[in-house]
Amino acid sequence: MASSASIRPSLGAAFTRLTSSNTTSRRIPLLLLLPIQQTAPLSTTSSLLKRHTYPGARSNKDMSKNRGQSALRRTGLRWRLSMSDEPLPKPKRREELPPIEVDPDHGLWDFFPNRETVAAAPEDDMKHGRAWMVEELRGKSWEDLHKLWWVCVKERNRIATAAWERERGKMGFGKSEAQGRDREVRITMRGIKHVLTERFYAWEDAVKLAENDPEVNLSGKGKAFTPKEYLEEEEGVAVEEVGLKDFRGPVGGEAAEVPSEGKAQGEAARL
Amino acid sequence: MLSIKPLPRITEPVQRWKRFGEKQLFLPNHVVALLRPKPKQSPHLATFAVPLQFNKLDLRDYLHHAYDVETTAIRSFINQPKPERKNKNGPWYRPRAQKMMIAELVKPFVWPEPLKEAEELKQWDHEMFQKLQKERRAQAKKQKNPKKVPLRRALAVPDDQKSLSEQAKELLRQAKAEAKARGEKVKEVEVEKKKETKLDSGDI
Repeated sequence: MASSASIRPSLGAAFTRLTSSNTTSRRIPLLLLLPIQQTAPLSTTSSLLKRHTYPGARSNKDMSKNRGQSALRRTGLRWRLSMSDEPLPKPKRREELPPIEVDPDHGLWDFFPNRETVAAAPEDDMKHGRAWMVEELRGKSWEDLHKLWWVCVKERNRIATAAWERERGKMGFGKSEAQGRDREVRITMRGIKHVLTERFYAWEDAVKLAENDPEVNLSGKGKAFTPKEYLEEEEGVAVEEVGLKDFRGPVGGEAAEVPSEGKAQGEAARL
Repeated sequence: MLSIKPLPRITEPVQRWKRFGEKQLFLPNHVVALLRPKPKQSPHLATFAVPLQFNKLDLRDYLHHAYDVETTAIRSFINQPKPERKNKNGPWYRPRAQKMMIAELVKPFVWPEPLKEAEELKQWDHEMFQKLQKERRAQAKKQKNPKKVPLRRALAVPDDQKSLSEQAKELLRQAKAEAKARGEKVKEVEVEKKKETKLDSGDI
């Protein structure tokens, strides 16, 4: 105890000396403007310096996040900030931006019946003929029918786009005219499916017949069709030929095309 | 002072799809409609009303193959309508939902301005359409709460009633002028006038 008492004044003197040496810096006016650094040579928070490493020790972290920060003492912030005081650029207004040029060949134009008004006027919607009839479609090839199908699909999309525009924009009447147009397109599409289904059935029947026909080779190797001599003595073969001729009559020149179309139709029907 | 680096220029969006579907569809039977974008929507976005069974990849392939429109991404959502009743007190049911998709386009597309002027909308008989809509709305409102009878003053005055009241006023004016000329009978006429107006308003 005595030793501690004797030490105390000397420590006090040491403290005063240390602090007085620091006071000189405070006299400089320029330094006053700058954030003041910590001046005490020894930590005044000695309890925080204690290390508690044993298991179950209390946490030693500084619970005061703002320790040492003071507006009066101009300490500045404790942490480095990730921003600067540079002026940020301002975004331009929508109206000030240059107008966007639309490609005249943009694919989306195909959705519009009319590029200016978007929705077709009822008068224009009425300008249509009748649908394609099944009789007319029977003579068309698969390529033609496929193209016509896509024309119909796009026309229906156009009618639907116009209907949305007319109803959303509250433009007026024209629903029944558009529906009439749509009906004709759908009848055409139905006709296409009808014709393709007919061809598929014809192809199925032809395959059945060919299985029993000695002239047709269905194995896929060699010649598919080897016609026999025109004049045949044997009776049995002659009868078979006559049967085949009878069948071929109504099918006509399409026989060669039938298989490929039938396959395509089969796939389409599955989808 | 630090010098600011110029921001990178916003370049045209690049198509990200690497490959398309392999399943061949020969006769698709779908109806896809292009819808007008919202006022502040980007020109790089296009909204479509698609069938419910469509998915994003379907629309991507559909636009690519049928319309030659390239997309970078597609968003989709379904608008589910509120339940409705059949007739007035019929069973509740939910109308069919509508699937919408928004495609992000490689090439921007700006819609033409919507038609506003009456002259342009004449083709659709816009005036008559609006009149009819208004009447239908009023009728629907009336049917919804039949017990609520509107006040007389809320109703429009019929034309014949208007002309009748005007004629009555004109008569009164003449009578007043005559009375003034005579000088003495003004008061009596005024009383009569008041009575008449009361009757008039009562009739309405």
